[in-house]
Amino acid sequence: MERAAVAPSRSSVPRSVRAWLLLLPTLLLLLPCYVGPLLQLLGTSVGGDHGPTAAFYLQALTDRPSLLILWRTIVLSVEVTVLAVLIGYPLAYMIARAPERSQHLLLLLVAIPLWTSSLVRSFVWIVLLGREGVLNQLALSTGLLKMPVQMLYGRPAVLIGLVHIMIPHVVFPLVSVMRRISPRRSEVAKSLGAGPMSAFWLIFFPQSLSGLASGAVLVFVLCCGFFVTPALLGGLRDQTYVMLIQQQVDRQWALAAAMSVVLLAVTLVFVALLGRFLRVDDDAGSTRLPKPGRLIGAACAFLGRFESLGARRPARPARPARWPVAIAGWGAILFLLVPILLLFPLSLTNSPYLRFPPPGLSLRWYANFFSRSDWTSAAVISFQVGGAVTLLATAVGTCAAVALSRIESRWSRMLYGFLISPMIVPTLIIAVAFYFQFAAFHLIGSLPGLVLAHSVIALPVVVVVVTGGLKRASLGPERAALSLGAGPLRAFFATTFVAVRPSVLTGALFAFLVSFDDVVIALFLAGINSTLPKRMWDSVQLEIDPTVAAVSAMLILLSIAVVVAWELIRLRLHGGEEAGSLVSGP
Amino acid sequence: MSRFRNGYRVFAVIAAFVGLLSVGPASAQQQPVLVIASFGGEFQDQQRKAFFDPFTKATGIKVVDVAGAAVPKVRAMVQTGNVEWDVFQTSAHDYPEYADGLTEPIDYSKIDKAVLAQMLPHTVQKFGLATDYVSQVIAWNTKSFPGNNHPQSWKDVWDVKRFPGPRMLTAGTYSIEPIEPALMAAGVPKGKIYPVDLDKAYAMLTAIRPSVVRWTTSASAIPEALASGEAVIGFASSARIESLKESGAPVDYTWNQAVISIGYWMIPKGAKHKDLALKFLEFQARAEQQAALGRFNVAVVNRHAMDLLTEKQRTLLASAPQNLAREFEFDPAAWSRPGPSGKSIYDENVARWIAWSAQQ
Repeated sequence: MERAAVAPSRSSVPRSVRAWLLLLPTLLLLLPCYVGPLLQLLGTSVGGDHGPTAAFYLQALTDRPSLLILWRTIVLSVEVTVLAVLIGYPLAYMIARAPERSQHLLLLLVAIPLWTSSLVRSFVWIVLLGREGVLNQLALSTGLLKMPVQMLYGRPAVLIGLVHIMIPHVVFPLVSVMRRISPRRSEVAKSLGAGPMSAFWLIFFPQSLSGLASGAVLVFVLCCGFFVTPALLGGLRDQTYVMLIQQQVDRQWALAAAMSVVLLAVTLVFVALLGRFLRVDDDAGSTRLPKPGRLIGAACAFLGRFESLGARRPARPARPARWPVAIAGWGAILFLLVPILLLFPLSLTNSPYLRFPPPGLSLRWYANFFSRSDWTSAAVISFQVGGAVTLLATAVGTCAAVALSRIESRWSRMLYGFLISPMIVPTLIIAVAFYFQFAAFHLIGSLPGLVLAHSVIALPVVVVVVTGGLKRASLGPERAALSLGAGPLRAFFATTFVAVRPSVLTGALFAFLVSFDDVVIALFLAGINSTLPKRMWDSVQLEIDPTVAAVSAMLILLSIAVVVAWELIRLRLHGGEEAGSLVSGP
Repeated sequence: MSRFRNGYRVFAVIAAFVGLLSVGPASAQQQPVLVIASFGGEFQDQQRKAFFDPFTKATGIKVVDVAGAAVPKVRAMVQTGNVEWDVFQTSAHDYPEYADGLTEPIDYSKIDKAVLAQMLPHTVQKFGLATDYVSQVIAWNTKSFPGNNHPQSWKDVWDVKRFPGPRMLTAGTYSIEPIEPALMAAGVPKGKIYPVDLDKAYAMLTAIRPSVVRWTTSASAIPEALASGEAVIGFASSARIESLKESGAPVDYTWNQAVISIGYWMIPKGAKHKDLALKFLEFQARAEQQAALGRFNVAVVNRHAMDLLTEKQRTLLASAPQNLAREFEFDPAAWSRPGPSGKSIYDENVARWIAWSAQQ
């Protein structure tokens, strides 16, 4: 790529410099709206009245209750990660091994919950798990239970809610890695006498580790910073560290800043450890494992041999038993979808509060939504902000992705890490950092402030998706256009841009949904310009009526419609090629 | 060529978003708008019908009402200079906190003396003008406790043998803490509750903790839980429980040992429309407006409003004399006095709550 000037370009700016220029919008967005706030957060955490002080860190790290809560947050995140992997892996395996056509359908089914607001999904569990909720009522009426079981406001509810949210985050990276694993190796292993178990543990599983690692890291990081679900479904013992930070924000700002830095550090350490431990060669075909991965390799080998040791039967090529995988996979899909679909009948209740079964059907809560300006204006604001974020993040992110594909690889790797880092920083910490930075510029309660903040968290998704698209696109046509005398812009838009357009559009849709789904940042920054998720949060906190169920049902319909419509359009346009598939995920 | 143009069109759209953004907030600021923050939910709907809409009708001043009035919000607004609200509602409990530099003193020279003369005792304060009485009552689910077999006092609420089932109480960081109830449950007589003995109160909270499914900071959580059966005994606003009861939900409540306090409107320091805010304060204190709120079972602070209500409506108000005799009167001043550590008891309690809630 460095030998860029294949033909004399009409532009006087050298190619490599042009690539760096494309990074300018990104830097203009990220420096003041991401790096700045985080640095200020760091500054506040050590800022005493008389010069720098470690007092707040001392306080954060010696206070027993808060350390206890930090520890519990980590434990909870590990538990959720393990559960999500255990449920997600068989599901991913089933999808990856399914025929092409059903693969798409299955991915679509997993994508629907991914696109449903996490607030909505947590709300659903309140209705499902309550003492008079759907599950208890069913169990009581069928005689399975004599007394309702307390599930809500405790660890079980938090685990169920979080795992439900995290499973798709495990499945997508796994499926994309598993699809690249050639089934032939397993066939060869079997023909050489390996049983299906041995073939799986010796050949298939080690190759899927890189997908497993990225899924697990993502889930762990998301869990560490998750706010909505534990706050809605948990009890006193399920308080998480971000909830504690939120409590401190307006009492002791410096302490909250120090606690944010502590959480960020813990998250990064865990990411580094997990990444190191699970790191396997990116090339799915390779079985050379680096040091820590060798442990896993050994474990796999042990598991693989275990079968032949235990069975002591003449090994023969056998079809793997498919039904356990199918049961686990379909079980996971039902777990993902049924709760979401149950919201529809519940939202049609005519009762002034949610109960199951609804005493009668009516559209009264839908009517309430449309007749109340506080609800409709929140929806309008959400669409406005979402629209602006989509344009800003997509434009900036696409420029950045193009730039990254054209600069020296050691730089591009570092920059890529930087650009996608907002994904790793817990959203609440970003929100807290923004809050005080934006207050200084009177951006609280203003739509531009919200748009900038959402763009920062939407940017990584766009960069990841478009970078993926660019990797698949050949630079040949663009070079040809250049050599035929086209200007650099024109050459780009006529060739490469067309090739990555599906990815850009996918990135745009992701960006919209990131903005449309956000509660935490809106809680801090939206002010009186309430967005729809913030209005829903207020409703869950302050009101009794089931309007929020009606809104949730409409949002679910919207996300189903968007995902399905997008897939249909994409299939028609691009005849099923991979580029830009919504369901292949970031 | 067309593809080339397409590329540029993308940039044109991007340029357009800047315009799109500036439209929203700018247009909202052309005509003075009074921003009022309250506690949300059905209560705010009632305030809208009794106060906000009639105010707009009478004065032509547009009202934007938002939910979520709370100390941290106001403190953040004042500290950052982003004062979005012109008027907000508070409980008596948070009054001292707000009076300490977060709010404007009320300029009573701009408020009609005749209206002020009708106000009940303690309802006209330096930093706030009262709007209602709030009573947090012992409430229960009538399917679990039908007829007269229900808790009558805080001792009964703590008695998990006689009255089994999950409870839901307010969190220690909520504006109405479970502290006074815990002390009443411990048998402390009404007159001896203040100064609060936090050691004794937390010992009581520890005792009831296994039976409490949730300690909430949400105003709706407890009424909702009682209606749905998620909890069978709770500590909730009488007005919210009364309106649920009227809509047919299986809930009821007693005035015994209810914690009654006065709710105020306050004006945050640096509010943008102070004059409009004062106009609103006067308007909502008038007998007709107060009576309109009283019809939603919210206790009035204007004595003439009582005369506009029916006999039956009056008996449902927390401030009716026969109810008041059974209730416990909350004292905000007692919470702002310094405790043993030198910090206010309010701050001591918050720190204590956080530590206690993290315990196993």
